[in-house]
Amino acid sequence: MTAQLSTSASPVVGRAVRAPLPPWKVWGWTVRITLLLGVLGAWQWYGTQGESFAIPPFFDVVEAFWEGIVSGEFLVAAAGTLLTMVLGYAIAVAIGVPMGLWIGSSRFARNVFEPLVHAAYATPVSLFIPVIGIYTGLDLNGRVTLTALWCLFEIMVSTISGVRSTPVPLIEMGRAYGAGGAKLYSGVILPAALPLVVVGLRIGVGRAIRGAVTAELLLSAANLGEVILFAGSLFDIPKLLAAIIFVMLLGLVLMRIATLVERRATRHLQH
Amino acid sequence: MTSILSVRDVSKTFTVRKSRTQTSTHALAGVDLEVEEGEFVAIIGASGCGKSTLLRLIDGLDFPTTGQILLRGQEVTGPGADRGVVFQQPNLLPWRTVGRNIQFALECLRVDRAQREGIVRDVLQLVGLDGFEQHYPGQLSGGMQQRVGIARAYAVRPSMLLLDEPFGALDAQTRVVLQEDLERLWRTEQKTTVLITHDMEEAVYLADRVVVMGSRPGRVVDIVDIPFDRPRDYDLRGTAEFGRLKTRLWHALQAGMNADVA
Amino acid sequence: MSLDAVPATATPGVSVQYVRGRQARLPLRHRAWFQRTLVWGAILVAWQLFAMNVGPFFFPTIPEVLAGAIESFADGTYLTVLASFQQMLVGFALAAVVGIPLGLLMGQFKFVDFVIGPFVNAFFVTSLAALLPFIILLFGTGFEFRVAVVFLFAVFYLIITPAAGVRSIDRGVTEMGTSFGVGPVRRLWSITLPGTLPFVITGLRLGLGQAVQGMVVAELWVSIGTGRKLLSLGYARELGQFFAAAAAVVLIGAFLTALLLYGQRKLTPWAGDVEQAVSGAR
Repeated sequence: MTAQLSTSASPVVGRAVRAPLPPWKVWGWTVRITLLLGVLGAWQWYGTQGESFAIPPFFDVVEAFWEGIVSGEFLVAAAGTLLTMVLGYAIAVAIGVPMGLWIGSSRFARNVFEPLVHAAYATPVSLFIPVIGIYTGLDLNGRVTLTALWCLFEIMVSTISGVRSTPVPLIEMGRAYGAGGAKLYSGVILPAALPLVVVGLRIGVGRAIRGAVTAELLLSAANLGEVILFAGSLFDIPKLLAAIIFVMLLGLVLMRIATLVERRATRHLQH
Repeated sequence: MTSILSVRDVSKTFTVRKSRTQTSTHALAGVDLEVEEGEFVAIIGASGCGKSTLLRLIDGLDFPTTGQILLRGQEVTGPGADRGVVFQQPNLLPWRTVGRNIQFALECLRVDRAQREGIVRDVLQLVGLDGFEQHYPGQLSGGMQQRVGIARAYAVRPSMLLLDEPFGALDAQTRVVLQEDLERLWRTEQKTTVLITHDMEEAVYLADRVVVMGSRPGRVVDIVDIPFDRPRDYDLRGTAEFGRLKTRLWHALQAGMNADVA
Repeated sequence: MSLDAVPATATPGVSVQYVRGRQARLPLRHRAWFQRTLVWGAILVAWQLFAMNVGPFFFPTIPEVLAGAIESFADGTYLTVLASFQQMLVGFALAAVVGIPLGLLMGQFKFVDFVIGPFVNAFFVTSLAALLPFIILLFGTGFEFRVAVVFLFAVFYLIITPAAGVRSIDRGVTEMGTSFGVGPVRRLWSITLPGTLPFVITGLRLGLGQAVQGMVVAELWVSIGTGRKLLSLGYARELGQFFAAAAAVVLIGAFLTALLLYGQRKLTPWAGDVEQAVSGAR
């Protein structure tokens, strides 16, 4: 038997020579960019026609976006939104991961709490917006609570399935070598659960930012939500659209970071 | 020679309850087996004859419904480090390097760190994998992964080795190479070994004694002594005596199957 | 080897028990129904005691919630909820009609995936709620607004899950088709669609949850239908009826989800749980 280390080269196409982009990819890039430019161009053209007050020219929005950045308004608001998000997310992680580990591994907790967790997971959190203020007030507390609820059950469910996903043969291997209780958890079950837990944490980031923005729009106007609502109430459409685009880009950047962190955390498993 | 392992009239019944219906399966019925110190015993049987169940019982991962399993006169109450197990799949922890995978078994025994590293080096050399300590299992071929599994079993210095179809998932060539390595290992270490397999050639080549099991319910139908001297080499497989023993196992296996299975 | 492969730990759904000696059944305190009765009962008792302590303006007692349910039947709140769900289903159906074919195309053709995939993924992960003030400008506050919001909330799940389904089809099966001379139309009918079906239904299930979320958000935003009722109950602190009305939304949502799960089991009995397979994409 020779030492055949697996190289992850595709079996069909050797990558010895850095091949030029395949034709479909060239076409793909062309179409992708054309599509983007086409949409923006149509937007600009339609906006300058002035047919609908809801659609200003694209470059007005770009200008408002730039204005929002350099005046610092968007950035200050983003800091507030991020604070809400981070607090809510931290609470959700602090509750969700330990509860998930417990429910995933204890027969009692599974019997009693798993149906409740699945029920809560299926419940639209926005239902509680009208009453959440009664318990937490409408300020930061309320928004943080809503954010936490928005991502708590996603994290919990993912952790539960992570613990369950530990292959039975690995557990048996551990038992066969005398690993009991604590050692079985620290040595086998938790590391095996890690990838799915991390997936849950990443999805949780996306949910947390959605929860924070929803809370700022629907529960009490604040931060980025307030910027959007204020621009909307003044019918300052370019600024409204600029703020919306800013919020969506912020979400994208955060998810991108979360994905990178996920890759790093589970890098040693990818061979 | 003294008996290290005694399986006495062991039966095992599984009850599977799916909503209302309950089905019982007799995986093992009245199995008797004695294994002597330093012996290499192969247990062979068709799929579903309960041979892996028997190994799980010996390892203490499961318990017999009736009967007794004694290891050096003590009843088996659970898994222990006196039995080193090699599984059908290597069952390595993908997030640990080869070295740390072997250390896992030692950590369970609370062996201290410095000692662990020494043992890892020794057993890796034993299975011909020195230099691969820092590799992750995903970077190794199937045969090498199974060598790590064997090294892990040796690392705990067990009084007996339990091998559960360890080469079943490998290609034919790798399998032969690993069989020869195992034969050499057995000669140098003289460790009592129980090998579960469905490969008649593997059983004859490696074992001193082959136990043939029949199915439904799982039971011992024949025990065949293998008289070959050691060391055994590849040419042995071509001899007439080797072929005669394989034929005998084949007929015993056929007899052990009930008429309802083709 | 069927017997030997029986796992030691019980898999969910099928309870596998090893019988040792005569001890055939779990002791009472380890059985699920007993534990549930005990703990859930305790939760209900704690709820009731808590509510009685803090008073009805802070938390409703259980009888108050039940009375609220009766009240909701009487004053037509539940009809409002049903009407909201009807409108939601319009948006959801639209999302399915647009999303599923798009998802299948994305899964089947690398080119389509390459061109629109990044945009779909961007909308999928970002916070769509921020779009609400803009959607109002486009569609007003009526029926179209609610349909549009539900559509937006649901459609990306309905694209991404079927796309993952097409990609999950075993290459070997496709090659088998090719070697038997199966044409593109037949391949779509006999291989791609059945292979993707479990994913499509799972996508419908995930999308439905989002659609209900979108429905609630939209109705709260413009204060209409169920959302309006919930807001006024919240302001008036009629918490008993509030929880009864909110429970109706949850239960109808759960009922629709259960229907899809039932359909999944009936239509695709060969497929296991595919939700895991798409969870990485979310």
